[in-house]
Amino acid sequence: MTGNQQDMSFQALSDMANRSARVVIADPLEFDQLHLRVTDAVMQQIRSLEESILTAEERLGTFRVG
Amino acid sequence: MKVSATIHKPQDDTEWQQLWLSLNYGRSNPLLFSMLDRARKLGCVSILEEGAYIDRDFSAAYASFYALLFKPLSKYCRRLHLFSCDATPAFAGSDPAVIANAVQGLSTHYLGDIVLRPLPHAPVSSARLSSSHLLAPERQEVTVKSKYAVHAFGAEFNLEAMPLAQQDTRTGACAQATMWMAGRHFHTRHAAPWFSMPDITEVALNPTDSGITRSLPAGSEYLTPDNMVRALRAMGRHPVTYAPDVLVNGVLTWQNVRPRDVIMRYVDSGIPVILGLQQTGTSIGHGVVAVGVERTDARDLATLPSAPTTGEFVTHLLVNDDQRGSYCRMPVNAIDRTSEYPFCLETDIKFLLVPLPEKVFITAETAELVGRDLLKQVAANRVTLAARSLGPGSTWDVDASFYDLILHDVCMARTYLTYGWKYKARMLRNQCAEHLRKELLSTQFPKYVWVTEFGLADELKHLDPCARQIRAHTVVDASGSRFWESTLIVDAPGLTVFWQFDPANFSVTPAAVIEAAPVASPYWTKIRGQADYSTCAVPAAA
Repeated sequence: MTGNQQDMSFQALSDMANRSARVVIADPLEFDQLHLRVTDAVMQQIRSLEESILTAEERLGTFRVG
Repeated sequence: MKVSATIHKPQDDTEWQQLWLSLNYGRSNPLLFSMLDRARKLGCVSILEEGAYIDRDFSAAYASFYALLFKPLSKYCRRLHLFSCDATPAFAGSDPAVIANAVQGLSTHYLGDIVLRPLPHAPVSSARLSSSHLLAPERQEVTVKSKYAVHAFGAEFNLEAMPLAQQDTRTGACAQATMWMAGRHFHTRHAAPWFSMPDITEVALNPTDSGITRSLPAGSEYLTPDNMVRALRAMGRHPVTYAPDVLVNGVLTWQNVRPRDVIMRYVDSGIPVILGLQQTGTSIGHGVVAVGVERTDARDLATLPSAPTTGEFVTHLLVNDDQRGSYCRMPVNAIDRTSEYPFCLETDIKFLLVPLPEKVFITAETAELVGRDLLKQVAANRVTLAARSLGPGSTWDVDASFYDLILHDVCMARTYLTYGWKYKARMLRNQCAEHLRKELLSTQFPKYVWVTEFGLADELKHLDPCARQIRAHTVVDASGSRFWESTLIVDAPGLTVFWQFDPANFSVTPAAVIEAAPVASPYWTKIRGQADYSTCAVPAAA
């Protein structure tokens, strides 16, 4: 592959990224304002779920598989 | 060593019965009967019996146990090759090359193999029955499978299967059999280490505990979940245990998760799920491996629960049961219980053991909760997000009815684990929005991602996977955590958000790339075993 061809393929990726409707939000404040984080209620649900998995062993006790 | 070949062609019930008994020294064995009966129902016409055959698994059991007994026992096995045609003509003639080619010609009729060891109480050392040959192929799918090459008489037979092994209750019980099946699948498909049944028993009992001293040899009749977890860890897996989480009227009940949904998520990811089952009135449980599903397209959509999953369409799990055979139909709901299979998920499930690969640090349930929550956030703020993309004063209103269903937890979800590169490869070839595909092309993904697809139940109920359509999906980093942003993509109708980390900037908060489009249309779901959607595309009119 020649150098020119490499430039052309790189250009194709750059052209794809230059879309008028593509907007990048890098400001953490604006990130929060747009509600792009998991809500507290779901975080609590995840904690509860993870705790139930953590304690599964206690509930199984000496169950035998045979 | 001399090899012999015998071809059996049973014609009726009596001859099949005689064959079944004669293959096991005149003694009945329900598993062997079940496997031969299944082969017969799938059109098996002839069985090529190959002997003597040196089986690596039985050699391991022989070396660790049977060679040490007073009773003399051969180490040689026999292997049965099942064909849906008459194999006799292939062996006609005297030219070895012609015979080898003729045997190779039987490959399109190959239904699988069964290795028989010289143990009449437990004759099936291992078996691989073709997962492409199912009793109800339009409704059933074996999702946990790998490719096997079987060699005999100068020919190679290729098939996809989920292997099965029978406990001998000397070197292992059904608990070890479930881990053997899962382990052999990981070995064949993902190059994981090879473990024999005695190998598994050894790592399950290390460190030992008093619980396993109630049987001789130790561990031969049962294991506890602790023993199983030890073995799976030693086999390179990272098991996660699920069990009922609350006591209701003295009965342990599943509250945080629905077992069917959990099993569906992992089995749909190609991960075998070990099920610990126990019927009322019994003291010892039984272990089987969920390897596939049977669906219905007749589910009453008016009675779906909140936040439903595509598990609602699953009526039966296909399980490998070391006592009953490959791809057995285990009903999900008690109402579907029949005499065909003694266990039922709804009434008999005691625990689930999911042997995850390494680098998966969040469960499917967490990924689905995160995906559903962020999709709802995007739905609730979609006008603001679209305006941020298209500019102030723009008008944007896409698929409002679907967004309304998202906000009310009515949309159906399907969550599965996949390689990041596979997700990207499939999605680039899908019918999804062009801006999504352009962004994907220059996006790097972690090794594993959790993908959650969202759609309308009415558009996902079809038995034909090409007819199923989705309208949104989310992608979550499987090595992520609830302690930091782990979402990678939320793709909703006409609106996509990417969470992107800049390798030159170690900011706690990633950048969000937002892009809106004025229109949107449904696109295909992931189809297992398909790298693209060429089989679904309608050819352009000539």
